[in-house]
Amino acid sequence: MVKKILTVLLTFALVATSVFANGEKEAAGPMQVKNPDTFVYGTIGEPATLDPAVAYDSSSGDVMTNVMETLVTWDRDTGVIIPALAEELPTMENGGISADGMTYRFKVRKGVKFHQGGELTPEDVAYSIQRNMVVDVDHGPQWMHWMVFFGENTGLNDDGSHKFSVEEIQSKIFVDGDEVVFKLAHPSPFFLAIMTGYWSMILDKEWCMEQGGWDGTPADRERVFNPPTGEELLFDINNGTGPYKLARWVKGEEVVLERNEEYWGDKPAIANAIYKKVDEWSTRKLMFLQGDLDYAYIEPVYWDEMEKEEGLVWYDKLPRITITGLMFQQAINNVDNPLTFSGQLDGQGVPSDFFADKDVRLGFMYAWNEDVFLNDIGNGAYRDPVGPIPYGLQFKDGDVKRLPNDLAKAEEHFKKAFGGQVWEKGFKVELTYNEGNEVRGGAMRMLAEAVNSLNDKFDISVRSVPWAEFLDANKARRLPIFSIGWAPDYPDPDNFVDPFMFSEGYFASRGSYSNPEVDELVLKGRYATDDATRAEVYKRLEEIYVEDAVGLCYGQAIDRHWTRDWINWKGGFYFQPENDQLFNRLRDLIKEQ
Amino acid sequence: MVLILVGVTVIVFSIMMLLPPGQRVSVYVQDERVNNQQLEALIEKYGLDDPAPVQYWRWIKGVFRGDFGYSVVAVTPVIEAFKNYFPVTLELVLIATPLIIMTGVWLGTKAATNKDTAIDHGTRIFAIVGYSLPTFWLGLMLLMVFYGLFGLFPPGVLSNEGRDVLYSGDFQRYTRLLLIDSILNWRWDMFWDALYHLILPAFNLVLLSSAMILRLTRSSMLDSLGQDYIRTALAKGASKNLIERKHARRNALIPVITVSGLLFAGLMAGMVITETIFNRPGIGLWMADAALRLDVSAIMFNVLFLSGVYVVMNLVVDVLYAYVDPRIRLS
Repeated sequence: MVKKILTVLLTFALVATSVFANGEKEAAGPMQVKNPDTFVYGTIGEPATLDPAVAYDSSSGDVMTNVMETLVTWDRDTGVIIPALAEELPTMENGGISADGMTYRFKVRKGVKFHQGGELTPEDVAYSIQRNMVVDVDHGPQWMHWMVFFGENTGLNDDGSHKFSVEEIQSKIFVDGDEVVFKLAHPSPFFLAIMTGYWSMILDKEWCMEQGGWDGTPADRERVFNPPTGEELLFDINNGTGPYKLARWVKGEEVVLERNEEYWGDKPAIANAIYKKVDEWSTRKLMFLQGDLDYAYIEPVYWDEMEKEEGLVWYDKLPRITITGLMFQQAINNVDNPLTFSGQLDGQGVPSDFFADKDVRLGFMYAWNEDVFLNDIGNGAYRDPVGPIPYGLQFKDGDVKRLPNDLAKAEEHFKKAFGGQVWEKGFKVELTYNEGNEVRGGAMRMLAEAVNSLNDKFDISVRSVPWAEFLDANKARRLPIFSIGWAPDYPDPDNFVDPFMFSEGYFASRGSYSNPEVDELVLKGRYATDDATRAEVYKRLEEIYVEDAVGLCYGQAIDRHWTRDWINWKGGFYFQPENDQLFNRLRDLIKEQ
Repeated sequence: MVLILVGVTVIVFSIMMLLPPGQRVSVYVQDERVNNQQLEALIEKYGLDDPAPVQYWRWIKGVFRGDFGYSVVAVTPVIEAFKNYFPVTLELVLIATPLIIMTGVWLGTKAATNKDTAIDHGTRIFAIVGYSLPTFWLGLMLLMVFYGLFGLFPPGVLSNEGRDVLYSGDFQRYTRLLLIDSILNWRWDMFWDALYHLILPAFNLVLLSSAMILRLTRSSMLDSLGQDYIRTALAKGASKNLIERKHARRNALIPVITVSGLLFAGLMAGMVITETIFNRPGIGLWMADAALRLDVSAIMFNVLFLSGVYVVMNLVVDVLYAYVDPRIRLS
């Protein structure tokens, strides 16, 4: 019996080896292209939704950018905004922008078909943007539309009622003859940039209504407003105009796209594309090396080991416009807060206003060693952004310098803080970062060690906590110092100074930072249309960021894209900082040996 | 049975409610780009600050309507997620469990009948290795050797071509179990494709999980072989092989059946690592993600489901006892 079983097993193993052992043959020479008609991207995560009213994460954007389009987009070579579904870019010269800069008129490209056959019309464009604002989910991207059309960061009052009626929305976005008209609340230097985002993608109005979408009337608003997660109309269905069509989305596994043979522009060379969820790095790596993935998400910590592998190509030093840093909490919530221990300046804790003292903040800033971060913790995947505005954006002023690493100066400021009490009594505090983010953890530990080295009475500890705990503590303002990270919604300095410095911005408000001069400058820069004023405003804001020790922006990401060597580019490789994921540029990829 | 299930859900729900709404809202928020007003709006929208009994009542009412809520980590309603993930896990468990039991019982029997010989020592080493090897490490090693070096047994559930067939509309998904559906569709290419992707994870589970069955069978067999009725049978001249198979092993299987039932249920819940390494989106992977991100709907459903699996497996084990041991049947 045993012999029989062994014989069967052995036979099966031999058969399996002979039938399936493709990889062994390939090991002898260059690997043959696998799936020649299909581009496979292996990454962590998957889209959250495909509804442009709701989507606000890069995974969703990666997929949507291939199946849907906007009126305008970024030119692959020059990085300037060019027409996409618009016939031409509106300018003051061609009458597309009014003299006051507050009205934009777009003619819509003719002959463009949606995937299901409908023809693109100006009504589709107006309806799409109106619908997105009407749906307006919590924690969604529509604040950008509220900002440019109404000058508000939200469409809701504090009591949850609507600030603006449907009629008011329709008075801002409407069709006039063969043009779509957008009326802004203020002249906006970045309105067109906002219109390149996936929150401004264009739907087929008729099709959308047939699916049960908003019927275009005020009476139907509440039915479609703020749906629960996953119940948005276009959650996993799609009918865009993009170069690819959605073939299927198997939740938890993959999104499959197929070429749109009726596409109005240059058709993609690769017929199919798969966005595959492979969370485990080791598995993803093996699939990449075996050629089952053409492109893989690789964290910087693995770059060195991947450089030694054969058959891969990487594009290095790609400047992303993202900022990572730390923010001081100037009004720590000390109620039941274990992170501040005694909650007093008694050497056994920190008081609520510990970081409200500028000398404390400056002490921390002078203790920071940017070179050590970039080389030892950042692993070559970051550059020093100095302030909140990343390099690569217009009006970034390279002359602003960060405070140097100077422990003597740090000591000097700690000695001045709280009238000398900080230095005399010492303090004890615990810093936390969200689990799994070791760069953030490393940055915090480095800062803690540097400050602790100044005085035996200084006791800063660092630990990681689950995301839920981190978020809750951050919400309650219990974190004495918290990590921050920002990727642009629209590539303009305004989108960085607002969260990092504006008193109502995400991080500044959370960190209880408020400076009237800053607020005034942020608004001035937002609505100024001449470059000279904006350049001056953003330079001054970065200077204030450093002088005021608002926070510590320590890393601007430098990315690498890794592909198999059989992936080539139409017209050569290019990188768009505004749209920095390679999967977004599927239409320009070629797969051949 | 219903009381047990309700009791389990009450306990788990209560534990979840110990976490403040500010933590439970994290399932809807994946980065820092959120302000307190937005967080409060989300808490209110999903009723996360309602009293715990109100939230439980809302959940249980939904359950009775067949609505288990929405799983954010699975980006789909819970029932849909279950339909997708459960067959992936079940298929692997159905393949692996018999192999684990057969391997464990066979090696355990061999070890017991060859006590203190090289075979016994060899199986002991096998068992120790099986017990000691971390699942994660062994799974990775298997993948690196077979797939990384030889290009065999790739991770996933099906090849890209197989997946195209699966979702083409021509392939009927009667049971959602790929092996069975492939046969019912008379698609042997799909059958081999699915089986090919099952071999390595199943092998991984066999190596790791058969050790327990092996050691249990061995000790139970040794106990049986020392009984008077075995000596009597030997004295009557019955063949050693027959005695071992028919008399000793059958009695020795009772504790093995108990453990096998738990093993089956445990595999249904505990294949997080195997499913992660071999990129098989199953229940384990889903549940681990849900637990990490506090996806309450998914956690509650899986608790309910797995409690049900344990209850059913206990019932099955009781029935099998009666089959294996006539004394239980008679009593």
